[in-house]
Parts: sequence; C-alpha cells; structure tokens
Amino acid sequence: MSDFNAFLTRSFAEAEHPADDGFSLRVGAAVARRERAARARSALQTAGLGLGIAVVGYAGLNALFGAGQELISTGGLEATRVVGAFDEQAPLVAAQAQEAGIGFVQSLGLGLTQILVIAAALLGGAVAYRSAQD
Amino acid sequence: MAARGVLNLVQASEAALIIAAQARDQAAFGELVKRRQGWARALLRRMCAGNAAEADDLAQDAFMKAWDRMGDLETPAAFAGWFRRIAVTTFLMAKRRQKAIFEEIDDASPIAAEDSTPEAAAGAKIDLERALSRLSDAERLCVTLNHGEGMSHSEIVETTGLPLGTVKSHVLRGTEKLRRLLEAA
Repeated sequence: MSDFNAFLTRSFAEAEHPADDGFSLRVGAAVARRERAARARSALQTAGLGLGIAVVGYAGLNALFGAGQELISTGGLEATRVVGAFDEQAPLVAAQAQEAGIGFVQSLGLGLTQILVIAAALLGGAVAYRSAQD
Repeated sequence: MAARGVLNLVQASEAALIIAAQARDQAAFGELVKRRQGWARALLRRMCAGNAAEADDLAQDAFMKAWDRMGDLETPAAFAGWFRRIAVTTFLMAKRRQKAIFEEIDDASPIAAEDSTPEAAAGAKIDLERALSRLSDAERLCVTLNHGEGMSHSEIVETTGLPLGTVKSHVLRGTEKLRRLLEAA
C-alpha cells in the first residue's frame, strides 16, 4: 500500500499544469471591472453620506432655532399670564393664551416633521455606513 | 513607464508581487495569477473530475476572492496554503449549491473496459485523471489534497471543515478505490 501511495504522489506531481494566457487576461479584466464598480459605489456612498449630513445639519439647525423661538414665545406667554393674573383684563389674556396654545400644537406638528426628517436622515446615514463597511 | 513596469513584474519575486497586490496593484496581481494559474486550475480540475470548464470558472472565482481578501494574508510565504484554502472553499460552496458533495459513487470496477479509447495511449496520467473521476466528490477532494497537495489529515480537516474520521475514511477508501482501478487498468 505504501508503494502505491508513493506512486500516487508521484503521479500527482507529474500531472501537467494547464497554461492559458487567456485565463489570466479574463481574471485581470474581471479584477479591473470589480475595481471600477467599487470606486463608483464608494463615490455614490460618499455623496449619499454628504447629503445625509447636510440634511441632518439643516434639520438640526431648524430644530434648534425652532426650539429657541418656542422657548422665547413660551416664556413670553407665561410672563403675560403672570401679568394678566394681577390685571383686570385677565379673561382676555386667557383667550390669548388659548390661541397661543393652538399655535403651539401647530408648531408641534412642524417639529414632528423635523423629527421625521432627522430620523430618516439618520437611518439613511446608517444604511450608507453599513454598506460602506460591507 | 509601462514597459519598465512590465519588465519589473516579470522579474519580481512572488513575495514582491504579493506585497504589491496587497497594496491593490492590479498589474502585480495579474502577474501573480499568470504564475499560479496552472497549479490552481490543475488542482480544481482534479476536484471537478476533469470538468475543465467548471474548474476554470471556479479558479476564476477563487482568484477574485483572493483579490478581495489580499489584505487578510499575513505573510507572502503563506500564499500557497492560503489560496489553496480559498480554492477548496470555492469548490465546496459550488458543490453545496449543486447539493452534490456527499454523493457516493460505489462503482470501483476496473477502467480497463475504456482502454480502447485514444486517451488510453497517453498512459498513467490520463488513467489517474479517469480513475479520480470515478470517486465520489468527497473522496476525490480528500485524496487530491492528501496525495496531490501533500496535506495531512488534520490540515484537510482545517481546510474543508469535514470531521477527522470522515477525512481519514475518504482518504483510505478513495486511495483503495484508485489502487483497484489503476491496477486493473
């Protein structure tokens, strides 16, 4: 059996290795195609990531300024309420406060849109990052 | 510039080509493919029972995977073993897709009946190829890696993921089948 094993090993060693330049060229062309595709994908991902960052930045700034305005107006409203509590025209102030409340609900709706935009941008960024890792 | 590059590639050592390919040099990888393709295709042809077209497709897949993973190769000296593992994995994945890897071929009748074909005159090399084609995929894989590539049973286990007992059994049974086939021829 060991003689046969030696014969087998020798037979494998003597077997011809097929040489084909066409094969090397095909592999080379496939590598070049893959690299071009990878570069295009990378550029697309970079553009997507840039767009995502821009959207997040824009939405973030809007949310920040929106919240600031909301804070100032809420502060102003509360100040008016306090003043109204000591004033004879208290019912009028209450009505104004109620109107301001409707405005608050509307601004909450706008805020929700911003939250959705930020969430979508973050999700898009996460997907772009994940595909870049792949 | 291009001519000097080609000349350098032709004269470069395999280690230098591998290091350049790791730096994403396509020309260096092309030269590496040129030098290694004969060995890789012969290995896969044996595994594919002489089906040259399938073997060449798998060899191309294996080289593409190697290009993608060049960064994983720790030292240039490990290239042969590292690439062999990629080639074997590519073969196993293809066979699993075909659901054919453990298909057993118990027919170990002598191949003398086919000796009247012109290939028979080419001698033992063709007999070996033909005898290999009579083994099951798993036996052929294990025998080729053991006798053709000089891998130990534990190395085959590590490369193929098959259990040690299965590898030993396939090598033993495959070798015995080859002996019966070749001695009768």
